[in-house]
Amino acid sequence: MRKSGLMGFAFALCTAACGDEDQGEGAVKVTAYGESFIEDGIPADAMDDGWAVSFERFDVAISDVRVAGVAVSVEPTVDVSAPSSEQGHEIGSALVPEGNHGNGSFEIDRIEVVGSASKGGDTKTFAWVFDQGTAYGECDTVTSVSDGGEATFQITVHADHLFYDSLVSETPQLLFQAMADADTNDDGDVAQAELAAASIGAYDPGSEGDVEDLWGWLIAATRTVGHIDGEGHCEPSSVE
Amino acid sequence: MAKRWSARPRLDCFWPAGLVAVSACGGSHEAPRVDVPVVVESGGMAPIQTNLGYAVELSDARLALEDLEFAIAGEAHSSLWQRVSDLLVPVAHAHPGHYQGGEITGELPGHFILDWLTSTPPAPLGMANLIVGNYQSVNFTFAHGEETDGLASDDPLLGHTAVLRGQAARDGQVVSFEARVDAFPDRQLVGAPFEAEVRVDSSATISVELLLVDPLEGGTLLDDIDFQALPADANGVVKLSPGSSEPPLAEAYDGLRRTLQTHDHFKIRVEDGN
Repeated sequence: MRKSGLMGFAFALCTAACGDEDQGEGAVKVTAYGESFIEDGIPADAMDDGWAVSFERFDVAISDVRVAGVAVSVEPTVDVSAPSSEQGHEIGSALVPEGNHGNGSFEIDRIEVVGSASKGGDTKTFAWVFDQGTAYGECDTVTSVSDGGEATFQITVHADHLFYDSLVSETPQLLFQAMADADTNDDGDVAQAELAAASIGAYDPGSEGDVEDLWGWLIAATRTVGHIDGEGHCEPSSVE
Repeated sequence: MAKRWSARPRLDCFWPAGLVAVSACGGSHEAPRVDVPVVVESGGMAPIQTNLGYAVELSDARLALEDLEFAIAGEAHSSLWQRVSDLLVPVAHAHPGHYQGGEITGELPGHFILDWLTSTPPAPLGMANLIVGNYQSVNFTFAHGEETDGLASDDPLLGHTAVLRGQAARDGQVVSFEARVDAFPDRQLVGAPFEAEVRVDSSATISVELLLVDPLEGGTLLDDIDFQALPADANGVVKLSPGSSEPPLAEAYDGLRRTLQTHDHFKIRVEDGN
């Protein structure tokens, strides 16, 4: 992240020093992509406790997209669970100066997730809304734009983070059992109130240790789902 | 997790912001470094009263850790350090979390057993090497006790991250307990407070304390553990350990592990002899 930030800074310096009045421009297409884990679901063999997770809807409200210093107007909400042939969903575009541009940024203002998890004969449904906004800055990518060409700035949403058992580990487990166990009224739906009443148990919230219940855990996890161009990281910060 | 410091070459110069080329550092730009002894201090081991009314006194408090890192305050100087370092050696980012705090400009590499009760304080750990400056935090990696640490085959710390043993008393009833805690693999504790100025002429000692009471919020390391309600073994000892199949023990263990892995219960400070 910091490495490409510095590269972007170098490119910016070059652009400022070497640019001329005839500099060309190209298009940047902004897409939102939930990858196979959202479009097809997370299979049981990708989870560490045998639950399989599928999403009926995964609405993401995105705003304040900036690429190459240009604000890109985007569709306010996109359902990234809809099939996209691995291309993601185009949500906006803009003309930007040609060149190699780093430090893109965006915000995710709201996430609404509807889906279910199954294991053996058990099925649990969930319908969760997270309206705690997160700004993703200093994104770890370089968007290369040629004169008259088209580049893509893909906002990638990692749904598997919702099921990590650690907020800090590089090798977390993917688990759903604790959330299934939180369905204390056993109506088959894992509700926000039930998650708020459930301890995080063996989950690891990190050195801050300020997450104690599973609903708070999910809120913290949603602040990490935004990425760039697949696996690229951005610097997340909360939006008040 | 990559050990950030040990994976990096030493960088003893800093480049102006506009220069991103990395080449040999000139000696004239070298930042002063100092070696500072690090010791284990037992000041935080006084008997405590938990939130459930237990008077707790420990007889054993030990922790295995590796690679202390000292992070400096400030932005321009330190962020450039980080960026040039990243250019030289790619650093694996925590996923999904991200590195927090200041930039690392000091280290005490190695594997250590910190014993806050049975050794004579202040027990020396080693010599840390730090760039002079104003420091703000310390990181370290939780480890496991090993035979090479000199632990006997029946030592409860062997194969575990921490051991806490003692007695908890309430209403005239005393419960003996033993907790063996395993941190997550390669789990790093990030951001233990360490507000200190390290000068080139310092004659300082850095001390590491385990605090049974969080100095900011007042909670104790053993809060929410209802010792009298927990099942004891055949010897009458309540044992908290990984993998307990009994829900009350598992819940108590999970809570203790979470608390121990926060930075709330560690205090690192510098005592300047000058």
